[in-house]
Amino acid sequence: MKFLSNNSIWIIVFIIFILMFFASENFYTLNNQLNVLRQVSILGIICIGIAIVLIGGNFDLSIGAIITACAVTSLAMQPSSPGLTLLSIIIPITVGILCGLINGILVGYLNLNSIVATIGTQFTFTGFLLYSVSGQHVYAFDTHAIYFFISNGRLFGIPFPVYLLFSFYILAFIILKFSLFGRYLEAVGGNIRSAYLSGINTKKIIVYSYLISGLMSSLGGILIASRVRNMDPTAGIGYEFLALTAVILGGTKLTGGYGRIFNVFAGVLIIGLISNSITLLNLSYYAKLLIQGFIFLLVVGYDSYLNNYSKANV
Amino acid sequence: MSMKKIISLKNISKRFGGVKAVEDISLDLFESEVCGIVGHNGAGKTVLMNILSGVYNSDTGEIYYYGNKVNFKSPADAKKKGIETIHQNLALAENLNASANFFLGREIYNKIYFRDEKKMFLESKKAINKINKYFKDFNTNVANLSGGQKQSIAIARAVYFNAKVIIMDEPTAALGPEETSVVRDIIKKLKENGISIFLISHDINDLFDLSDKIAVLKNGKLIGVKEKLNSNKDEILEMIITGK
Repeated sequence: MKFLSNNSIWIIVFIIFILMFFASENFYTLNNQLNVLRQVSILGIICIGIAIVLIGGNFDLSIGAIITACAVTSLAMQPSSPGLTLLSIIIPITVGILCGLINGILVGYLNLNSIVATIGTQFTFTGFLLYSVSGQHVYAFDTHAIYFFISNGRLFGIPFPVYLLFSFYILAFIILKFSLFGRYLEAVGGNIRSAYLSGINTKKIIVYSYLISGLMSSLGGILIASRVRNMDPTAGIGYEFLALTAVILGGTKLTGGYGRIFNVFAGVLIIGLISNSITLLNLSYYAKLLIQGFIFLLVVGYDSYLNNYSKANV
Repeated sequence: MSMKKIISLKNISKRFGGVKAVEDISLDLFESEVCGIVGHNGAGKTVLMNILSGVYNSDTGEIYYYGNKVNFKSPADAKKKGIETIHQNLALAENLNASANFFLGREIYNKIYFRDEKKMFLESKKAINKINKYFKDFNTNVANLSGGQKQSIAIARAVYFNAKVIIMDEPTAALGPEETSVVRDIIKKLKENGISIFLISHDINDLFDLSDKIAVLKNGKLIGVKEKLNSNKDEILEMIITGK
């Protein structure tokens, strides 16, 4: 019973599957299901970072800017040879980790409120990026086959990003479930003062969580760059909203201290399935925004209700 | 036989902005000694103990541990030396269970730094049941435990990690009469086992029952330290009220 209540999000995934069975005959094709998985793979990878920061009791609203910065950096290197392809992956990852480090220092060491700090860095990173590329789109006309494969290739018929998605979720699960970092993250998110008094280096844990978020955002950025090979330097804005919706939908507490990574994956799937359903049902982009906004409010309201309910019962 | 000096606080001062929280306090603690600390709210008791436990750094003054000067930059530093603190709010993460809280910051782990949950569960169960044999809710989040149960975890944790000195900040404030009596017995046992204790309490009866000496603080200053055998409750109360 406890298992069911802890994983009730999967029931929603199941309900969407049932509803779409009646709504669209194209929904159940293997091609469409793989398409959904490929589409959610980028959001899914980014959500791991957001979830880890949120479990630690903080927010990262700068991911949209980090994703774009990393995508633009990657494309600007015109990855047309194997060497350049490698660099066009390593350097954006370094950029993402550096952005995460800045966020981590601001929140962990300088004690800035994470919402305010990461909104600040979102503008700073975007501004710096716009300045660097003079506000212009960045293209990569001639990319190497390996670079193209990262986001567009298939292995045994399954899109390559789907392998990355599952690998990172399994890795994140192992880290959160079994490692010391996983326990410290929960403790810091649950009660940072108690964690500090228990001898945990809370500042370091916060910095690590932002480093992971920066890393995941950079991987998301590289996947986007490899897919579209044409990047508007403001394209990532709004990603944080979508990612937060998926993470909270997956049951991660807004107040920190609790989150299950596979339920986050269910939240990502729901976002992907809804987006796919909207397309299959020929609904407009405005309807998509409306539905996503409504879901966001619904899950935030539900989280707040649960939080007040548990407080009243202690 | 003279007892060994474990802790020596020398001329400790701490300000928060314009407020002098602790002003030039010197205090010693000997082996197997219970030193009661008493004073009104805002007297500086908790701040002084938080300096010793590494939560705050003092502005001036020195701390000596077994005669050696020490500088605790964090609670982890103090714990490494065997100075455990049972804070007034117990310092437990309410979203974690008893076992996770018991080992928080000092987990048992394997070669690849994965937590050994089974071993931690068994060890914490044994240690907590030594303090409170009725404790059974090991898988429940601490948020859903009673004040006495939380206290049991905090005390068992301090004892388990071979503390040389235990700082107890109002250890019975949240407890009922029966649980208070258990904590009193624990303090007596700890003392018998050679552990030295700083005991902050508002309860003058507790202090007289459990302490060997009582330090009285008022407005951040040490008014005096009285040996229990050479003093009485009226004298201590007068010191608390008049500050003389």
